[in-house]
Amino acid sequence: MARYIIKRLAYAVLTLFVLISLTFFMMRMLPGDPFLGDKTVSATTLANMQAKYGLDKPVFVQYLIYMGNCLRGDLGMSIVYNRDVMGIVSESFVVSADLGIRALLFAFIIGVLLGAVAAVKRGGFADSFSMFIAMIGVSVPSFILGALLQYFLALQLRKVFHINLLPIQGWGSLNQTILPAFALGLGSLATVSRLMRTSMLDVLSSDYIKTAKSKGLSQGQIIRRHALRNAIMPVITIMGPTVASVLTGTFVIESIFNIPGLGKYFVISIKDLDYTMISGTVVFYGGLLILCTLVVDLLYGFIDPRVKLEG
Amino acid sequence: MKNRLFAGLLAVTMLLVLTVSALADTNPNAGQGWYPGTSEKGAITVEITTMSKMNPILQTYSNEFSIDRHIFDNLVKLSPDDNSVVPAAAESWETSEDGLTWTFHLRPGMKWVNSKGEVVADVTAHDFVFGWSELLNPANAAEYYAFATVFKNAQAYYDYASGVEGAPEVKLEDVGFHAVDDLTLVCELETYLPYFLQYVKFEVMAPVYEPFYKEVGADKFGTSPDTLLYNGAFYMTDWVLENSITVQKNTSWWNADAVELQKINFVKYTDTNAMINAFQGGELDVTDITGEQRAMLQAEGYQTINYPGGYSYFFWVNVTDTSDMRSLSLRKAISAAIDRQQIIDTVFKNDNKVSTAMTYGISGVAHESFAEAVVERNGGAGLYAASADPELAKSFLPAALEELGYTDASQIKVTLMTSEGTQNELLSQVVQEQVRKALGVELGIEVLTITESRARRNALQFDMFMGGWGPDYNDPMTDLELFTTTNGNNHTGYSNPEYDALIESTKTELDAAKREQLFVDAEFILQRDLPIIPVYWRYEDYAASEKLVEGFARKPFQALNLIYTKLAK
Amino acid sequence: MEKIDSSRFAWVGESAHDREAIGRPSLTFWQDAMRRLVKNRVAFICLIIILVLTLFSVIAPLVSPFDYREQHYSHTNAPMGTVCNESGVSGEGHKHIFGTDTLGRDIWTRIWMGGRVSLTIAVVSALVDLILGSVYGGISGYFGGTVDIIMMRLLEIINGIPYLIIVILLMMIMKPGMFTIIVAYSLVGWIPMARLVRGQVVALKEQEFIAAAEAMGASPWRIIARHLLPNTLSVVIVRVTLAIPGAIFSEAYLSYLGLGIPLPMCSWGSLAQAGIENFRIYPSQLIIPAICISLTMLAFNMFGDGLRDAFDPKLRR
Repeated sequence: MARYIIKRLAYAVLTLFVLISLTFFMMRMLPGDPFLGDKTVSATTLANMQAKYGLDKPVFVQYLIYMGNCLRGDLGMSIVYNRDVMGIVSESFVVSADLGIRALLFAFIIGVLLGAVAAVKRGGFADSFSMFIAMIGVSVPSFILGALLQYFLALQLRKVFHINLLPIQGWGSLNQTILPAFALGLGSLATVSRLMRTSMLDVLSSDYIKTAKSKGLSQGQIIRRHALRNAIMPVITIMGPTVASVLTGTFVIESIFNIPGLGKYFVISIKDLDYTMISGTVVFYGGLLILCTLVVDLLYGFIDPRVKLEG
Repeated sequence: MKNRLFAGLLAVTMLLVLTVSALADTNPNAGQGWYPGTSEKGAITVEITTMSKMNPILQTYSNEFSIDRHIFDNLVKLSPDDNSVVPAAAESWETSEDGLTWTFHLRPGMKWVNSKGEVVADVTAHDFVFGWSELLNPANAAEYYAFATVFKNAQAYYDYASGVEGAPEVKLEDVGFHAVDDLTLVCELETYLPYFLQYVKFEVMAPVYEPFYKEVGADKFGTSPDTLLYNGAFYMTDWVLENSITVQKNTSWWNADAVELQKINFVKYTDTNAMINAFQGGELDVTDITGEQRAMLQAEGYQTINYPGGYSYFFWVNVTDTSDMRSLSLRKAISAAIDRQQIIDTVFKNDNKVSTAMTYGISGVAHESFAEAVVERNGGAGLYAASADPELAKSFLPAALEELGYTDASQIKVTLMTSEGTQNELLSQVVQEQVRKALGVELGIEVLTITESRARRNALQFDMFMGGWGPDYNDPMTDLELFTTTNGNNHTGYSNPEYDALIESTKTELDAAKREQLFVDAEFILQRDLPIIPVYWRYEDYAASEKLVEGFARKPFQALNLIYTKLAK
Repeated sequence: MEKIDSSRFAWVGESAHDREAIGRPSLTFWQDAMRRLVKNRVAFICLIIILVLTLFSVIAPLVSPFDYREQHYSHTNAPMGTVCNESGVSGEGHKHIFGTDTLGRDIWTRIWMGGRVSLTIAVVSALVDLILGSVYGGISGYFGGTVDIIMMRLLEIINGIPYLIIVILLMMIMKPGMFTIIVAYSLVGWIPMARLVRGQVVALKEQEFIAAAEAMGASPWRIIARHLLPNTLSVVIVRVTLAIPGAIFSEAYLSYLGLGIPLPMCSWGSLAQAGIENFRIYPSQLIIPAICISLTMLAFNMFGDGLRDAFDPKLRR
């Protein structure tokens, strides 16, 4: 087991290395350069700017320097913000992670419960309700959902009913997190509950559940001891991608609710061609995704004893 | 005789920076009770679009300058009432008879405060010398260092320090700014410059307190509220990158008694729905609005305010051989095919004005604005028509085909390049449709990221590119020198010796009225040769909550000036 | 015990052949599935909705009196049902069924043009996802060991590269447009599918019927194709139906970033994006494309459910 984990960790580091290298060279292929302002600068100033950010050296030398710095945890200096990238990324990531975790917890806990109940009480009210939630989550894009929630639940509630419960924008207090987490999580909640329902139905009609039933176990025991544990497996496999989609989804939600998260840098830095910020966000984001899949694979092994974690 | 002439000219220069709009704004809605604004007493929240750097030396965005205006005092400032130059850190100044040496007398007793509002040191003339030296320091690679090159030897020093090959050695001490004592600053200029004070007021020319700068280090300076010192009406207490900046009233400021406002929150928004929602929900006091939102607020009976930002928008046109736009007749045809008023009415739905000249937002000599002088010369009409003239447009077509060697209009290949953004894209589509209707020529549209479009623009790899230009200082030169052959911002390939000579001659013309007429000549050449196709002048619409009563200013060169805002009681 | 009436029994005859005959015709897996699908009324209605939306997207722009890009400046942002009074256009006197947008273009025509784009992107991308994902995941999961590790590492690398970088690079190399978006989306979209299939295969291959097939000497390819993939089908189909909104949303997201369909073309995503900016003033400009998106999503989802039930041998009656 320990050997397996170490091995997986080594692969994760390798993946990250390939990812950083690929991004480094790919972003250099993008048209333009980071110093293209609205007003053009003189050749002398351009040379000074390139020297300041270390872009005057050959690309491969820059790459080696960058890799060296990465190993020391130094992601360089942002060209647009003239600040340490590590500082910006970690500062804003805390916010995105906070929002993301809230959205994910909401999506997974409610999603699994809803999916399981829907499967057990197939055709009942819970099934229809979970279907309804899932349909909204699946069929309304988050930018529409976010804007509508903001308008109806924050602004109109305040204007029409004078209920000052949900703030329109901003980040910091608990009630400011409710609408964004809901808007961000609903799509994933839908995916989770649908998948959970499907997989629960599969499990419930399998032989070992019938065996358990014939042994005389109660419905509750069967679901808790056998069905849930097995049915949750496909849900766990999509946890990695769900984390990813929640993270990318943060851009829209953060912009609608004016939340100072990492999402926006991901887009702005590519538009501005802020090289150090691009690779900084990619290293962070890529690293996170790789970590998530690693965790998912390990979890998979713990939950399903049939899956052998071979070294 | 000559001396008197100079003195006279200086007086005119002072006049030149006169009124663009009358007084600081007042809120037409105050007291109605519709949108009372944010609840915190003595504080207002204002929407702003950029706040990436707060190190004044490195800034380039007008929105960042807007924050600077509240927390730093340069030697002089623009009055919120009429954009005239008024004393700030300098109490008074005088110039030598040849206009090349300026002596500034600083206000005694000014203080630097930190992010807690505690007094750290006195503001002295040395701080300006140091700030300007850092602006010229190649290690900082300041984009707007050129504002400091008005001083004697400054450009030579910059080139030498940047290691430009063959640049003769120049020491920093030889650059034309010196602190005679703590309160006296002497500046020597490279050449005569009628609008020198406009340079001194420019936000990058801020003072920097050297011991503090050395203590935090050049890398860290201005990256957080704690790594800056303030000598303005406010000091910064909080800064969440790309989200919000909070400033608090500086009681140590020289004119603090006149400041009623205790706190300003500058908040960055990216979503226009969120902006209007926050405004209506009482989380925002001042916000920019779209044409549709303006109509919505007005329909409710709430008055919106607008101001000219000073930006002139036009198509850069590639007049070189790589593009079909090299044909002057085709340029004329397209210019006549565009319905400028219709563009404003459909895309912006606001009070943007049809360009009557390229230059906009600049004060005139005999008129309130320079553009009026152009219109007057043209017999009362603008240089560019408000509505389309399909007949006129079509009449240029045969000549255009001949110039291009084509036999049919369908052979014309012209692509509109635009950077992404709803309005840019809508505008391109409207122009595409207008040209199609009037000329039967199908323009392509290419939407690019802002960096890619700039790269292509600078490399002259486009046919037509929608762009804008905002003035840096209050003189027609800031706009019209663009189209000289060697100007780095001339993205058209246009090169006309006649035009170059005309612009050069304005630098030696001492009579302000004659000088203005030279610039009017330049406008006429542009209209004749069309290296750009002017479209509109931009007006910014905004809504202010009833919390703001008066004293705030939004105008050219001062997108935001809230220092003397009076709040509702 | 319920008493069964003797009349329900009949003598089949004496012939030994007849006695062993199967009463009902033998159905293949697919015939059986189709039969059950048609019986499922909800799924069938959804199929019809999908077909109708597709049909309108194909035909409506052709028969509409307005061109999707024609701008009528005399009635911009017109409400639904406005009669066109713009002179000199082919649609003069006709109704703008869904009104006009901010440039006075007929929304009815644009909706169906947008439908062409969105449906094509969604369906093609989902198919590419399905094929790439199941093949990749199936191989990786079945062989396990080194093959699995290498394939999964490769997958993680591709997955780790932010979508935007891939898209911008592709937009640079290729002409911006539908094809580029499909390629860009497919390049990353198949990854969740591959993971899902692999997860299923890893679990399934430990089961007895695979061991039995192996013992009987079936080749790996036969086991993957005949045993593993069909058994993962139900989960896969649910995933595909949920991948379709993903594709449409991605397209909207790209439009939002200015990397979508080139102007003046449109998609449901870009129409919704344009509508959201003014939804407080002209709600129909958002509601109409939003309904199209939602209806398509719902239809594909429910139809996917129907398919799932139809394919699932455990639900055979």
